[in-house]
Amino acid sequence: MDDNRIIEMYFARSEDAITETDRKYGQYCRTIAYNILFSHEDTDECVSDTYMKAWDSIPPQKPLYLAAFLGKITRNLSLNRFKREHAQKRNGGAQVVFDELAECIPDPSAGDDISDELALKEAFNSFLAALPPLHRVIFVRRYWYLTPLKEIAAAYGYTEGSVKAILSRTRTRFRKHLEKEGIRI
Amino acid sequence: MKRMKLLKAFGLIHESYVTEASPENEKKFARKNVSRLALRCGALAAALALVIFGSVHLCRHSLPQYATEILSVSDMDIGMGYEGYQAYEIGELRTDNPVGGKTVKALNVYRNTISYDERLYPYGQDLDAMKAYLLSLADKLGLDTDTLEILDNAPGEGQMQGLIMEFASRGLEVPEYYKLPYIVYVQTENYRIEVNADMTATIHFTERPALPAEYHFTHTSTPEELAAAGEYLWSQYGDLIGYENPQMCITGGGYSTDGTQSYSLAFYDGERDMTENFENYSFNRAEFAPDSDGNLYLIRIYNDAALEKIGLYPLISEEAATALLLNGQYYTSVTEDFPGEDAILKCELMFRAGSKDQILLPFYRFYVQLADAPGMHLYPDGMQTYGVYYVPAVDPAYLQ
Repeated sequence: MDDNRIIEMYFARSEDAITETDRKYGQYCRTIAYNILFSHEDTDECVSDTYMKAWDSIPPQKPLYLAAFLGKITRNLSLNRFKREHAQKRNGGAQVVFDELAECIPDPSAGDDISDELALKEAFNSFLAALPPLHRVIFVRRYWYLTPLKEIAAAYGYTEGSVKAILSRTRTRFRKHLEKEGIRI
Repeated sequence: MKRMKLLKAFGLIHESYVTEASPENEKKFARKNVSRLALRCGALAAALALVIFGSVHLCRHSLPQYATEILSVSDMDIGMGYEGYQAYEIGELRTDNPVGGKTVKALNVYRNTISYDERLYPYGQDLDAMKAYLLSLADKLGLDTDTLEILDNAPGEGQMQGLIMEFASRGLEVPEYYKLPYIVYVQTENYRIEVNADMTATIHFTERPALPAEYHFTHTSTPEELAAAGEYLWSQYGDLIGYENPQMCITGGGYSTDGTQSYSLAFYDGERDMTENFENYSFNRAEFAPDSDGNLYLIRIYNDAALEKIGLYPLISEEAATALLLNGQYYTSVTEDFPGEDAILKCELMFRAGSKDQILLPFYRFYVQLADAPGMHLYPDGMQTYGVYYVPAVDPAYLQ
């Protein structure tokens, strides 16, 4: 079913909107949640919560990209759940990614502590805009979708070692970019 | 926790980057790789290509009316999501396709005159044509077109400032076409009528018309109930749409996790030959959508006004398309690997209408049974998943 039609169902407050959302994007959202949580039970709950959030948000919101809109909600809910339930155990898909991201955190002496969302958003977007497309999609697959390295390698036809190398260089570049922008995390 | 903060902040990136990197768009960035399957099928593919090339060569001499433009399908939008349908058996999924099992040797291919940027923002629209179509529909609904005010969705000053900031964060300027509307509409006491950039019209009803009690018209109506409701709705709104020989098509049959089955109701004009009927079925159709209470929620009229004919192209047979499918030359949004020939349960010819593709060409659409599809534990026992795989139907000699 066309995205516009699904959004219209939300606006019409038809519960079929949830059914059609699940039919079209259930698998997409489940993949995002599972990559973070590594648990089918937690994944199902996060995806259900995603639909409820979407129901509460549309209207007034009218997403231009319904998939990315739902994916963002799933990702946030899954990260919150991960933080709440898994952080102490140091397992789950997000843990490995956390360790990699430590390399991106700028030197504390590089600038003021900026927690402003807009500044961070601009820093991310300007960095991604300047990356070669392949490096950008690999970077986003790893740190937005939290896709395992093995799957990224298979998806784009590279070895796992090549993907690791691309990510490592991109992380270093990203840290320098944040430092240049004067952003501290 | 700094790493968590950074990871959560990554969620703020622009949605176009999320879409670009989605699993469904992998093929655009994937390095060409010769798989073992491809090697095994190499000889077959080469032989097939030789046969196809030979036939095209002959056809070009005997049927000079074929177009000569080579078509690019590399950037085909395979859509987001997961195009898999759940049903107990394949026969439950219906499309009412006028081609059915008939052989079609050639079809027209069309170019979309509307383009879409990475934000799916359209440009190239004909605003005068959109307004004229809007007023013609308003006139047919009995509205006084002299006094109607045509409104549009051109961004206001506040929205424009937001766009300027958003583009600036990526080191870009807002393109000129963002200042133009891509929807025109009129709002009256009873209706809201909209026309989009691609000339699709939608009529929303302020007071949603209720059907007489003997009809059942919801998302869970059976095909028989929809057919009866369709007869009634056409008697009420057929003049607005104006098809000479309306053909009803009821499509769907997939199940949701709660075990309910749903279908959609539409009409197309079917007075012409099979090829034209197929084009009307694909591009010129009127859809009637219910709300949850069984009332008429909207009428949407699709048409080909924004399409430009490129020309007539020869098609390969279903058997040749199957060989290409087995050779891995297909498009799909399904994440599973293609399971093999035995899993192919149905094939039909179709245009991928309704997408944002720049070239609209016919495809063979294969329904493939997927074992162990994800999420099936949520469905009732015995439910199957049928994934959809597309193979271009146009002779590969004409494709880039």
